[in-house]
Amino acid sequence: MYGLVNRAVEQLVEQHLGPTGWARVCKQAGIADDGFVAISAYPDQMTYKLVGAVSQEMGMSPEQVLEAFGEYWIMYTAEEGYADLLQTAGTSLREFLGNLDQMHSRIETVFAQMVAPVFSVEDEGPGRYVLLYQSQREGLAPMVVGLVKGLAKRFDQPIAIEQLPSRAGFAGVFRIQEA
Amino acid sequence: MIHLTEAELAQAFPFYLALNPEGQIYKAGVSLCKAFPSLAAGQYFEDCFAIVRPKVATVQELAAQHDVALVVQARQQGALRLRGNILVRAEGLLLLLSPVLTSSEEMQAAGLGMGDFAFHDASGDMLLMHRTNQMSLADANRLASRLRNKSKQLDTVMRLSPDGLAYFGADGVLNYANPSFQRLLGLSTEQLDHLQRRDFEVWLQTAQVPACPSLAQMLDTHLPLHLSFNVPYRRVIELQGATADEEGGVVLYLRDITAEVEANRLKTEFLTMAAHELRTPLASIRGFSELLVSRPVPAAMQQDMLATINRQSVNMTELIEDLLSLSKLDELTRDKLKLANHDLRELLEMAVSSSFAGADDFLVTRDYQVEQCLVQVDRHVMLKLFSSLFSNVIKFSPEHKQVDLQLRPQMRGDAAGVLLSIRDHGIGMKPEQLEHAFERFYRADHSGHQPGTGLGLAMSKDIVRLHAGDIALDSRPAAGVTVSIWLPQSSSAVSACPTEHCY
Repeated sequence: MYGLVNRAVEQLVEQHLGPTGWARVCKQAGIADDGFVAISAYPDQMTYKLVGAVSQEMGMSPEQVLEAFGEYWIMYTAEEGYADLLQTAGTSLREFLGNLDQMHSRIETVFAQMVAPVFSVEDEGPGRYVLLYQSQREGLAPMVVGLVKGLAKRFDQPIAIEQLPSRAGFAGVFRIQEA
Repeated sequence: MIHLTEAELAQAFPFYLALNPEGQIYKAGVSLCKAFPSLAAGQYFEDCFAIVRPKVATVQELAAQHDVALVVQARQQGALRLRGNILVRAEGLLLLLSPVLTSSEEMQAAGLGMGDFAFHDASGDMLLMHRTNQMSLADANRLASRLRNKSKQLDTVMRLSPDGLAYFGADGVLNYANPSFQRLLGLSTEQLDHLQRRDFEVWLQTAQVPACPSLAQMLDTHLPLHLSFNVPYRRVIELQGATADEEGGVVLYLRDITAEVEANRLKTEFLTMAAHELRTPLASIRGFSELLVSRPVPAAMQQDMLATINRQSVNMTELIEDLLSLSKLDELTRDKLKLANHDLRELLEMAVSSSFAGADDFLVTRDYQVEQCLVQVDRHVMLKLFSSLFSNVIKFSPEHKQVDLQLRPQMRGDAAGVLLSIRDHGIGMKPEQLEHAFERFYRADHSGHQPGTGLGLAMSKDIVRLHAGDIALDSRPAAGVTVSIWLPQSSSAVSACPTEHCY
């Protein structure tokens, strides 16, 4: 993962637990608490260890941590660095999700080694659609829930999201119902 | 031949500009119009934009320069620059432009967003790259700042550490040594300057006794080395080392273990001597008791034997009691003492009364040059000290039975204190005896004529030290012994007043 992701985990932890909390998380994860450089690539294992340590430190399950992180990512991290890009991807949640791959194509220019997930949308009816998520990484489906919730807040669109039984070739299938 | 519809052209080149042969604008891309809302058909290009490149004065001249890059600058709208190609067509010039932007802020100032660029236009990507680089630079600066802070913290820790630390880089040159490293090895700053590892090894071999294995051996075996130095003072240093990094740099760690080694040596010596001192009376007891058990012994001889057994068992009891006292003293720390303010004169008098009770022929003189002498001491422990010292006085003064006690004020630096002298007129000690007098089990008289354990003065020294004082001996053969004890006075003590109290 790129340093941008690990740095977002750091910011999320510092927001809740302060710098000493972050130092404890790093100690538990067995990594230095010096920080991360956004454009540097770090081993995926480091991010997984961090999530595990945050889970213990905050008394949350890893799934809850990933969901909280997904929401934080949209609300703060992406907003901080790539608000312009987010704006181009749509003016509603549905439009944004449909344009996600297009946005990732831009991001891949900057983060050349990025292995971005692939998203597609199947409409089921007005304000009701299914988000299909494919990824080479395992166990990050809860983060998608957080990302969608964060986007819904960004577009000020109340939604309900449920994870459906997965389909072959997909890491997660989610039904989104707009209120 | 590829033809584009107007919509396709607008999608592919959202910043295009179409000019008629007179140089008037008659069409413009949607994104260009967004950046220049006042742009209108019929306006002359040169009224809106200045041609930066190529170096031509009029739009008409551009037609002849269609194979070069075109750079224009808006006369308004923040002087936004655009760059692109010139296409010469029958209906005029078609300028395929794109804004020259170096940051997201500039893009926003121009009223543009990422969606205003064609997908093939890398301008947006460049801005993202620029933004990411800015973020990464901030991250790197933050990281460097944290590392600098950590470095400072570590530097402080290492500077204050009583243990020595040094780092030899992969090139074999000393990169860092903390003050303790220099102090423990007794090296000068000049010696440390650009010190090579191989020179350091040579120095180690010559400076320490006995010779130690090489550093390389130590790094291989991971076993610490013990270095013994005699100059400038005797000390034992434990040296450990480890490879510090992938380049092959080496960290050396030094710890002064002189006290530990000395404590171990004393412990072994003490156990050996204690065993020896116990074995001597025990052998006597066992020998005589075996004789008494195994064969008939005349009554008179029997009485002698029993008396010897009794005397030796008393000696053993005394020795064991002294050993127990010593053991308690070893465990005793200043905070465990029952300290209270006592008048040293009263304590002395109590000890004199009990110690000289059976020695009526002893003359005790007093020269107390202090009116009241408050010291903060453990009464019980202090009485034990005086009792032990008076016992020696009696033991080693067979003829001239006199002891002179003197108390006088004495400053030690800024600390007010009192000096107690106990001077006897007994057999005294030789200089070589004096040298070992405070050692445990040391007995000046090895003949066995004088009973004793050889622990009295060692315990006296411990007791005085526990009370933050010091003790010294002065003696010459046949001229008696003077024991001088200095103790700090309590802060509430009354100031000294020279008064003669001689009896």
